[in-house]
Amino acid sequence: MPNAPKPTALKPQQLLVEGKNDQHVVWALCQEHQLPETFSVIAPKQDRDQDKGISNLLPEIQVKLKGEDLQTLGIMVDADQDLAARWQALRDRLVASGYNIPQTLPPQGLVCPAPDPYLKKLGVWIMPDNQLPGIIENFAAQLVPDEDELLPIAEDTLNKIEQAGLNRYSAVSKPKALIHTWLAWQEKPGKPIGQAITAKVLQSNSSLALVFVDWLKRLFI
Amino acid sequence: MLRDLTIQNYRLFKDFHIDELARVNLIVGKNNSGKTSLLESIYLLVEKGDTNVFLKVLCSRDDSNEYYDPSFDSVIKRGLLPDTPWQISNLFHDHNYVASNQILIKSNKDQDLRLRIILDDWQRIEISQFDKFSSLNFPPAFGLLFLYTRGKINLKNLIPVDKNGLIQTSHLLNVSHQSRPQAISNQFIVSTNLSYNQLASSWDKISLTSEESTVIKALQIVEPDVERINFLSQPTSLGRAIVRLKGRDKPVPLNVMGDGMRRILGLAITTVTSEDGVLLVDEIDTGLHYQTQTDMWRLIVKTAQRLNVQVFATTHSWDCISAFQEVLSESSDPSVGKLFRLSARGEEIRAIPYTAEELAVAVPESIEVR
Repeated sequence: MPNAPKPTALKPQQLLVEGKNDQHVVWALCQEHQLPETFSVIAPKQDRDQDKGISNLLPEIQVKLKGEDLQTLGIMVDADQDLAARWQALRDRLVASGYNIPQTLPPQGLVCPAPDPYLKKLGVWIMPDNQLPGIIENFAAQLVPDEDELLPIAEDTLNKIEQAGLNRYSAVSKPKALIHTWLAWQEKPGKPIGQAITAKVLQSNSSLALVFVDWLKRLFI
Repeated sequence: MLRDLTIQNYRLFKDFHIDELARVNLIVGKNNSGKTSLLESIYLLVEKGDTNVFLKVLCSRDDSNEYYDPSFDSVIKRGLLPDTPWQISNLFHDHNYVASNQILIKSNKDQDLRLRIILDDWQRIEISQFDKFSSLNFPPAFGLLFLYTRGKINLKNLIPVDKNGLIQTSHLLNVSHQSRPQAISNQFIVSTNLSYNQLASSWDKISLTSEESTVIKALQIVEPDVERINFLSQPTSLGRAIVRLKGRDKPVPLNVMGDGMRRILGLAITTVTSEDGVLLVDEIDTGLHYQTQTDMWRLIVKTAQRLNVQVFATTHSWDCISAFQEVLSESSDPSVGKLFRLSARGEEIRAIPYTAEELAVAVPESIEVR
């Protein structure tokens, strides 16, 4: 077996995300809000498939938190269908690592100071908004301009094909189908979410985006 | 097997504790985080505060380093001590050499082992307990006492120290050092290569035993064509160790075959001669190409399990950690090995443990553990 590649130099402040797509969303929001580059955004080497996602990430968080040079660790994961279960699983790990974590996840995202010199400052954001089940695509849908007329049509369309039994996506992937349908109908069709933010097709100053950016600032800046 | 270790007031350690030690322990950490001090402490403890071992440890830290030789025991026995005195203040965490300053190294989970090294006024020590020092003409200012206990066993040793905190070699010249019981063999390898003399005498214990093949297999990690090894009784211009290679009529001197061969030979011989003891290796990856390190760990882990050897090794190398993880993951009992990073925050040093399971998460994702 070839040896695992050497770790690359990362900033002492790091944000763990679930995939490359999420990485680009964070980068785009940082760019739009001109946040200084004080942290690395880290996606797993291979994008996880949906089932394994969090079960892989949890042990990784525990190992990351032991790192010598890490100062701040942010964790950004999807709630998927059960926000409470996801939060509980994360919370259990963090409590086991020595953190004092509130019972409920604050709606504006968790920021927790380092409890001792060997632990790190910690942040948790559960997509889309720390309050509802869902995934990063639900978050992206919140960045669609308020008066947008295409989003309701896209939703209708999805409902229709579901009623006709023509949808090939599962119920879990519906938010993904929705936002990418909507993105397909823009001036330059087919942009990924991150690029759509940069192109200002999705609004980086929507209220949910502002709460998220504020969480990043409290954690890393 | 040591399960835990507490070290107080020794070098970088003010009050250090490490727990849940494994059979094979890989120690990482930045420079000056205490890796070598940890190996030294273990060595002093398992050698029961033997003063020869203590002087060897002092010597190995000597800046000049030229006096350090694994065959130091014989050097001391022959009275060939270096002229420069050894300063003892650096042994203590607070760098002081005042009477009653003491170092404690203990382990109590498996067996109750305790070594105290106490600096005391010479007058306050009952010198009569140490008859070898009754012949000293001029009493020194201090004595460095080594008090070892294991259950009901008590061992005492003493080294004179002058008023400047120096161990004068002249004080040791006329002192016969107790020869220690050889029942259990512990070994400490530092980056400096083992001398061939040392290896040759160890080889005598292995040759024609079942462990001979372990050593041959080790050499084959680096050079697959090796069939046999032997040591010449007299060193020649070719050195002392010779190997027979497949398809060659004449033996080849080992020292023309590169550092890796000598290193793997040293590791193999010391591991198989450490039965029921402790093997300490500073910078275990030295001289070994990364592709050979997986086989090196396989050799060490398997031999350590078979012969009841507990291993403590240090490294700075990611490849070495990666190879270690690979070998643990294929083992039927991954808990045989563990990684610890010594991590300093101010005066405190902690050992941050990584189990085989955690390494199996970290290494493939290239998550830094050093």
